[in-house]
Amino acid sequence: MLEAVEITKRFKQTHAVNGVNLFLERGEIIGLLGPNGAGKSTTISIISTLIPPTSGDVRLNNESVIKRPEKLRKILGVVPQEIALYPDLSARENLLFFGKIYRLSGSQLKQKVEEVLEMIGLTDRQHDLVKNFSGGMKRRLNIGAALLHEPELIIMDEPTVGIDPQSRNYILETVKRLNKEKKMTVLYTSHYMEEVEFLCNRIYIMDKGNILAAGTKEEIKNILSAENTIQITVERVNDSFIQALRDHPVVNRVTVQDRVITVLTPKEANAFSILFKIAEETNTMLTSIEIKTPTLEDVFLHLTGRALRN
Amino acid sequence: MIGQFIKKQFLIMIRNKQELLLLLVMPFTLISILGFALTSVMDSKKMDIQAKVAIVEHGNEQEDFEKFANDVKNVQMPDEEKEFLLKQVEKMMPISILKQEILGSKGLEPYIQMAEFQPSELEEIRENDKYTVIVEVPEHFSYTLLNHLIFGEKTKPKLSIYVNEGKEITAQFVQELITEFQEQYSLISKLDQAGLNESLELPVAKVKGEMETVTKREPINSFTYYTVGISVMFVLYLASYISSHALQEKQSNAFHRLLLANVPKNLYMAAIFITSLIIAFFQLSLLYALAAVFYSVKWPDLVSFIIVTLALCVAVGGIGTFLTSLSYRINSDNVSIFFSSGVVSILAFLGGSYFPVSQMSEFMHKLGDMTPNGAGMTAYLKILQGYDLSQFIWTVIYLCLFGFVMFVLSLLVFPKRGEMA
Repeated sequence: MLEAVEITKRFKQTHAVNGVNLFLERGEIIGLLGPNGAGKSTTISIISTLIPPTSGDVRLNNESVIKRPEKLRKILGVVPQEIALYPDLSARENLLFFGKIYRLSGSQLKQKVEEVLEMIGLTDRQHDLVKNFSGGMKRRLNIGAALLHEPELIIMDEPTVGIDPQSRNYILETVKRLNKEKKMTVLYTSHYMEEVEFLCNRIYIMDKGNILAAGTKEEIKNILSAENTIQITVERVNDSFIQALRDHPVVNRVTVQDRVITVLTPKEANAFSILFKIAEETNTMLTSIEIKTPTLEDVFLHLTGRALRN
Repeated sequence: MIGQFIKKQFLIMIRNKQELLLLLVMPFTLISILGFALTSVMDSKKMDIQAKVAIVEHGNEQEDFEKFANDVKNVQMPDEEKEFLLKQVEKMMPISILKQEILGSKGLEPYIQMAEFQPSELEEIRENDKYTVIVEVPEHFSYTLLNHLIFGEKTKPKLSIYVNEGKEITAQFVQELITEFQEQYSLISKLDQAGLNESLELPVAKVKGEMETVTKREPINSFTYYTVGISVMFVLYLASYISSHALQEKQSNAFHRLLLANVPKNLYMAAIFITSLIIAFFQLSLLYALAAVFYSVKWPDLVSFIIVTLALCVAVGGIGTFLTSLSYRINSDNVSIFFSSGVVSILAFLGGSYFPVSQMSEFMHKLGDMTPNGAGMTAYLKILQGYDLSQFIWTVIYLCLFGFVMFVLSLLVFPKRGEMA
């Protein structure tokens, strides 16, 4: 349905996006996972025709939309990361305004507004001014404004940033519902791997303007099939213990977060006995040790050496 | 679709008390304060006018009359009529009337000192800064004028009037007096011929020591002056208010929603232009309505008032869109802030919102009239003084052109897709 081919974007000396290839099939939910500053927002701005790429192409059904974006825009809904609403208007007034901008009118507009309000759970608060809404309600309305013209494809840029878990779940369920009931194709960007894992059929992992990995959840996790992720909790973090781990030839990577140390080792290595031995040599008291099933976070860690939310 | 933009902006504005305060309450408060505070200064009946008028005659009016009388003798008309005509003409020789009954009249004695000079002295008195106005009467002025008025000759003579730029207020007073005299003189002559002159009087008859009366223009009191001055100043704030809101629209990405809905850039700018225009119209109308109710600032010609208000609103719309384009281009509110906190004050000063700077010099007068608020103010004051729209139509055209040029500039400055920061 939609395809980004070798798109790059340069801002003066910075390569915000660097030869990204990405495609979406009709009815899919695609995840674009990466930390802040990975180039996700620039990528989706290019895909949604808001900014032109420095090079590369975006194609809708094999037709370039870079110079003639109108066709894509007609079937596209975009949920920006910012709350793109008018705070001094009510929820209903916002939807009516954006509906009219999309050339809806009369009973069709009213019906769509009711429907969207119902879908985002704001029917009871439709007459309240947006500035009085909670963060979660604003996020829901932000999504609603992109649904009025019934887009076939919706691009969501971190739609759950800064909201409470309840609203977040509501939004995730709404996205699932849109995909299932309305057959909407979704491109969902996030730096929350659990959201992407919950929603998406296929995932692109992005960092520093590059796509590092792409595939289904299982395919991506298989990147780590040759490694074990071992999580060690210590009573007190000991620098010599960490250094010894990093220096050991069978340890591929070490990250420390509070008292939890995550170690990646080859599957075939006898990791436990090595870890115990290092702990003993450096007088480090271990309180727990476990082998974890690899997550997308681990894959990201493996690929970049950094945690997603650093 | 433009209607939606207007509705949206109205709703936002009426819900934003701080903005309403700035755009409506504050100007009205200022009108009240300045109107009361400066009543004694602006409404003073005492006029500090001391004009020295020099008259330089190239010919001789008596010879002109004799020449005219000779001509009349050769005209085919009954002798009685010829006699009557010459009697009438003898009584109303224009330069004599100007010298004796206008500039040298008792009524104007406290204000005007008149002196006569020979043509050979003209250069000397022109270089001398002593005289406020020099009236140069060309040769055969009266003869040509009488021929024009009575026999319909095409040639209409003109007095040359030299104005001392350093004494502009006084000079304007004398100039208006002479202009008024010329108009009245022509009219009286025509009516005299038709035997209808009973009620008309030369302007001097109405001199009561007030310039307004002499010039036959309505006096402007302090409330009237500041109603106009402060309103045309505060309507400029609307332009920065609109551009500031438009930038918020961009920074919150609401503008992106408009782009994605295939709203053309030109339509968006047109919507901003028209929204500014309409809100400015409402703002001005409300301020003038309040001034009418509380301070009896009444408009003698409502149609002219509406035309001038619309023209001023077009200019404000142009400024609003131009500021929006600049803000979009540099992706910052600094343009609007700079405009509202600095430029408006300068424009208000030049345009005469604080005090009539145009009376300082001809240069300041012209400079003030080049500002949209100054041009608007000039036009408004002229309506209030009873001028006809045709007498300041160029000001109205200038305001519309100003707004249009700003709008075109804003389309050129507005960033293209991909240029937007």
